[in-house]
Amino acid sequence: MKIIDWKTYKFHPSGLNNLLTNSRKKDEVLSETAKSYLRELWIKEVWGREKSDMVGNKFTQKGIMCETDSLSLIEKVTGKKYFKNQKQLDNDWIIGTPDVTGAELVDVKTSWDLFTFVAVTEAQAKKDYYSQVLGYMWLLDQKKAIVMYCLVNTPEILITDDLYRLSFKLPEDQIEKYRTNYIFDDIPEKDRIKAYAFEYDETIIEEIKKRIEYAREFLQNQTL
Amino acid sequence: MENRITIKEYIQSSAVKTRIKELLKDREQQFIISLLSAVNTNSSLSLCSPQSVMNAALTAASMDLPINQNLGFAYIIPYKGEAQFQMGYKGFIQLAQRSGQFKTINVSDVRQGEIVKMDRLSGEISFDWKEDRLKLPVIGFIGYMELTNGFKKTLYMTIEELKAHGLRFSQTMKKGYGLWTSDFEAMASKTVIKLLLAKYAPLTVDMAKAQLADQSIIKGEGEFEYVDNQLELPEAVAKEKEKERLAKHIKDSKTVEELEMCTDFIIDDETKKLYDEKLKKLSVKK
Repeated sequence: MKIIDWKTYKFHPSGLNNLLTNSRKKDEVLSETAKSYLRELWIKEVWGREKSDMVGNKFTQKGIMCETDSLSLIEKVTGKKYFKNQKQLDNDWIIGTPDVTGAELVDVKTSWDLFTFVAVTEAQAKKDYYSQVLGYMWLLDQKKAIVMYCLVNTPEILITDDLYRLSFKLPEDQIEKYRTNYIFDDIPEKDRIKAYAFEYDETIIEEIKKRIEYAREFLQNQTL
Repeated sequence: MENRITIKEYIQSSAVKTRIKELLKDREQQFIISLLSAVNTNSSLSLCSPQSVMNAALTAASMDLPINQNLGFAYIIPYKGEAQFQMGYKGFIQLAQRSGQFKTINVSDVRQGEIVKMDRLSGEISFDWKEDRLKLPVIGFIGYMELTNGFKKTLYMTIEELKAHGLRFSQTMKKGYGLWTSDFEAMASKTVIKLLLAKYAPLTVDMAKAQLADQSIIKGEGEFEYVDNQLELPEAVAKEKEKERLAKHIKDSKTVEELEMCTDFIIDDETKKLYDEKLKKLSVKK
């Protein structure tokens, strides 16, 4: 068991979306989604347990493993140089490592396949990631951030894992045709990027601060 | 950033000199020349720990195998700041021949339509070697050995089996680089020969050493670490890929300004060293 000082706990920008979900009950600030997220966070921090589907999830794995490939694709298409930021930043409320910093603040999202890539829209990007990039804008004191979705080839290890799972459902000679689902060299590079720009919003920052105070209190009172 | 000693400096220290002399006796000078030549022809080796480079070279020398990359007997491969020893298929064949117990040992690719009959139980395969075979697609690789006492064995692996083997044992192949990706034929040939010998050949001291040392970082005598054969977390893969991308940017930079774009993103000694060397070169040009 680890003792955590929840009064000063700093949240990762990727968790802010959960905190900002509105509660259906008028007298409560934190929604059920937020509470569920906070309970998982509490278990992870205090007892060192994490849900295994979050750790081993293939979408997350591709996102991490292919971030560099996505940056290379962005470079080729835009003609600008981008490097992965390795520095963690924090303020009194949040802590995180933005993907790309410098003249432009870029958050890179690597799509799992063509189906998920095509489904991305600006509204969806805002719903899923605005609070995260707003957190990074807050940390870097920048007024604009770009969320870039990229479609790059899947690493062989993830393809093999997926095809292996498929082998329980289909005969061997039918599996190989699904390999094209993981490789995208036939699609023009310029069409394999979707970019959405978002702006800083101080009112939402104030709301985040308020929610973090409630979240800290919730975590302080959480027990087994 | 630490100040690492170079391989040249390392082999000049008296303890290392004594060790080389003890192990190689009159071949000491020849060894030093081939080691320095290997490092000069592959600049990435100069970024590896000098001890791992020397241990890999000494292992090759102890089996009397040249480390000249062009000959294909044995290789020293940089991998994450350490030098990995790798046997080439020609190295395995060489050791087998030297044992005096082999009448024949060979490896070949197999093209579409060349397998006539295969007996899974005995491992015997009948072939119909085609005359214009080079036009046909490769479907697998076969290793064949015949001992002087009459014992014969073949080992055939399909391309799919070889790829699966590479993916199982090489992390670099999974990520899409390394010898399995850049020289599949050499790695496939080596795999069938290595497995054939490991399963059926009489084991000599050198052959046992070659099997154990292959694809390892040699930490000391009989101490092998198989780094390319360990599962890596996605974060480690990501870090390695970004490091390669930075190295490419550094290599391709034509001006100081271009080079300096990556200054703030370097987090490891190896890349910093590459950066500093390039900066020096570009500053002189300026």
